[in-house]
Amino acid sequence: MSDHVHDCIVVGAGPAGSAAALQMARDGLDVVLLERGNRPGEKNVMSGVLITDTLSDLIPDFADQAPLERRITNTHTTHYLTDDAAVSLPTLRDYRAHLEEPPIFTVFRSEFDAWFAEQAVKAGAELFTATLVEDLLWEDGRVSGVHTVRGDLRARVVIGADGVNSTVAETSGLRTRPTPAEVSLIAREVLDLPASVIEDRFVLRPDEGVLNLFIGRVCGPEGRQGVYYTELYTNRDSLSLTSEVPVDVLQACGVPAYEVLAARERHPYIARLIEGSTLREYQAHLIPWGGVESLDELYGDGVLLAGDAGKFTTQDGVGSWPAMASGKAAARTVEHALETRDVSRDSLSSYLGFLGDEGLIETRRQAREHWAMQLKRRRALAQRPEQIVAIARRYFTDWRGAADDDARSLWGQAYVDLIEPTAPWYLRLPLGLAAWVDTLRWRIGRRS
Amino acid sequence: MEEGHDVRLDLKLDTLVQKPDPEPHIVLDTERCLMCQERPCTIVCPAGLYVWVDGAMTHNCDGCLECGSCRVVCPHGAIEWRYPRGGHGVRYRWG
Repeated sequence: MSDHVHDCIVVGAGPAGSAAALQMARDGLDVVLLERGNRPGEKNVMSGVLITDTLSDLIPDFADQAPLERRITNTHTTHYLTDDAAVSLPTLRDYRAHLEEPPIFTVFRSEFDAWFAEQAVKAGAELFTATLVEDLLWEDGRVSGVHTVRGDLRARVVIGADGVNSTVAETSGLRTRPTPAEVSLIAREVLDLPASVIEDRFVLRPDEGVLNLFIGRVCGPEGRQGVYYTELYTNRDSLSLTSEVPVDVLQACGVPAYEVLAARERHPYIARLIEGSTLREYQAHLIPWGGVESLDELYGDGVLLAGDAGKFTTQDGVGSWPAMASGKAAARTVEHALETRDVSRDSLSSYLGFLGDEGLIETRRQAREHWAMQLKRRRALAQRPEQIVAIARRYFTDWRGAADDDARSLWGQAYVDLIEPTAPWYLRLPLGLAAWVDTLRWRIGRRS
Repeated sequence: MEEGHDVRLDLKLDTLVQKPDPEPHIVLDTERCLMCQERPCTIVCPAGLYVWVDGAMTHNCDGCLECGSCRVVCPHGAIEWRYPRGGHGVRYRWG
């Protein structure tokens, strides 16, 4: 590798890096894209579904070319689980041909990321695979390139799109390594199941898919507990079963992620959904789903962070869409900085404006609020699945026998189970009164 | 739910294709591990590669899924962690 100074080096050919490289290459910039895997996607794990807002901006006809599995036809169907029950919340299956929103797909990142990086290459970006960035090069106090085993590469700006354990973020000093509360561990199993069985079991046509979210409690010794999220997705001829647990919860509960996953597999409802399947591949990956830090850490002198490296996730833990959107915003920032011939931190602060255009500043604010709430109410949230199952049991099965005088109306019971233990007094007062009146009316109605 | 059932982690790990890096990408300061009471790495590693045996920490780099959980939880900074060299390590076929 030579002394040539590229316009931009993008570290990591995932959704963020390839989106950035694609955008810049199209706009005529001299871009290098570096990937540590033998092939883009080889190191990645899809823990959810691909939301295609930014993808359809970048490649309007992506649905005709990209390696996609199934198009999701339902909204996130949520199930609360206890050991021996599941309460499934109402769901919408939307079959309109022309949805206003861009569609959502299940994908394998090993295939999708390779295809997406190829689009950047076709646009003119130069891709080096099997190339790990080990360190950054510095010049006059700004990042001026990267050091790899294969040699040094220089550029005006470096974009770190190298995931949650970002070398670029940590060696540039923009960020230190994350704390356990700031990250979640995904454990995932891809389970082989014939397409026809999937379609029968989940009521689907050949290209349609569904996603299911299961919420339950992780139990450890000595009553330590936390909430887990498990997701089950349909691929073409396989299912993806994932568990997503904040690392500090795993640590506090003393339970490994594969045991959380195994316990889910044994749950009577999930066991029936995955029955007859065999394990194709087991995977694990860390995602920046947890506390969200300030915006200052996203840019420095000659360097920007995008995707998981910049901790871009929605409050639901969706990372691939914010990754592409932040990659696109980073590309615009670089183009702007090169036009003004200024790649200082001040100049690159225009990133915030471009992120705002993509809706990511708002997304980040929501995620921050979500996690502040989660951390404050972790114990209460861990109780919720049991409470919801208890209410459902009482209302859907025990009501016939509810002759005792303490029986409450649905609202009255929901108040006692859900609102009273957690709500502040100024909510408890009016809602409690309403619940009491509702129960009274219900009891009178029952008697007559 | 009792979470402690036997999980055949070895069978799960058998589904993976790996190209081990001859140079270990995780280096452990086992002296520091001796001071550690919590040993969170033994819990969070999704490949179960950290094992406390006869009063000492043992670790095997082969089979690493490169998630980085261990370096995040280590309370004593005993884990010197980097990615395997380019082209080495785990190769997810269905990631």
